[in-house]
Amino acid sequence: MTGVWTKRFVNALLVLVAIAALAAVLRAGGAIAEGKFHMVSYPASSENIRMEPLGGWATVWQLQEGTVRVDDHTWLRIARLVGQLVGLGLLAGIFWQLRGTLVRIGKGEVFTEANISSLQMIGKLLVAASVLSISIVFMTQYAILEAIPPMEDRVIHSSISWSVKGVENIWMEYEPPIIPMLLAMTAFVTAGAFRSGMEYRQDSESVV
Amino acid sequence: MAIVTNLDVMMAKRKVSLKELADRIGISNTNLSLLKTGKVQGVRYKTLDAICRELDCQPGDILEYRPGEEEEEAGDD
Repeated sequence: MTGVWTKRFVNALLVLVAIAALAAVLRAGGAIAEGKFHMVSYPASSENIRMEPLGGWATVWQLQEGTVRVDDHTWLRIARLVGQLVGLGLLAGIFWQLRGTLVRIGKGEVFTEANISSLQMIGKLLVAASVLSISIVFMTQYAILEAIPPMEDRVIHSSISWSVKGVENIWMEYEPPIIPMLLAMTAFVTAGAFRSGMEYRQDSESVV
Repeated sequence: MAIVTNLDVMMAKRKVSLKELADRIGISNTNLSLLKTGKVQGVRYKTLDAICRELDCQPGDILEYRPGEEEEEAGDD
C-alpha cells in the first residue's frame, strides 16, 4: 500500500471514530429528549433458561440473556458517556500515531526515533484504553449492585462472583480487554525491535 | 577515542591525494575523508585491505592506539 492510500485508509478510520463519537452524543441527546437519560442498562445473563413453547414443545423460545436496568442514575450515564468519548479519543490517538508510522515506513524511514516513539505511544494508549474500559465496567457494575434491593429468589452478581445456591443467579457480563492488552504488548515489543534496528542501522552507517 | 587514524600521514608519505586513493580503493571521497579524520565507528576488513594494498603498508601504520587520547578529547570539549 502506498503512502497516500495508507493515509486515506487511516483517515477513514479516524472519520469512523468521529462518527461513533457523534452517534454517542446524539444517542445521549435522544435519551435526554425522551426523559430516559437517568436510566442505565447493562447486559446480563441468567443461569436459568426460560423456555416458552412455540406451537408445541418441539420448538421453543429460549430466554437467557437480557439487561439489568437501574433508574435515577444520571451521574452514571454521564460518567459512561464521558468514558466512551475518552475511549474514542484514545482510539483516535492510536490511529493518528499509526498513520504517522505507516506513512514514514511507506517513505522508507523504518528504523527511526519517530517510529519508536509512535509505537511506544500506541502501546501506552492501548493500556490506557484497557484501564479505562475496566474502570468503567467496575464502576457501572458496582453502582448497579448498590441500587438493586435484596431479593429472595434472585441474586445479581458482578462478573467475577460465586454463585449462590437455591436462587436464580444472574451475572452481569464482561469480556476483559485481552486483545487491546496483547496489542499493547506487541506494540512495546515492536518498539524495542525498531530501537535495535535503529542502533544497528546507525552502526552500519558509520562503518566505512 | 584512543584509536587514532594516521591515514593522512601515510597518504603524505606515498604522495597520494584523497580523491586518488578513494578511486583506487573504491569508496567515496566523503567516506575516506571521514575515515581520515577518525569520524567513523568502524572500518571494514575489506576497506583496510584495499588501503594497505594501495599504500603498501600495514594496518598498524594506519591505526594507532594512544592511551589517554580519549580523556584529552573529552577535555577539549
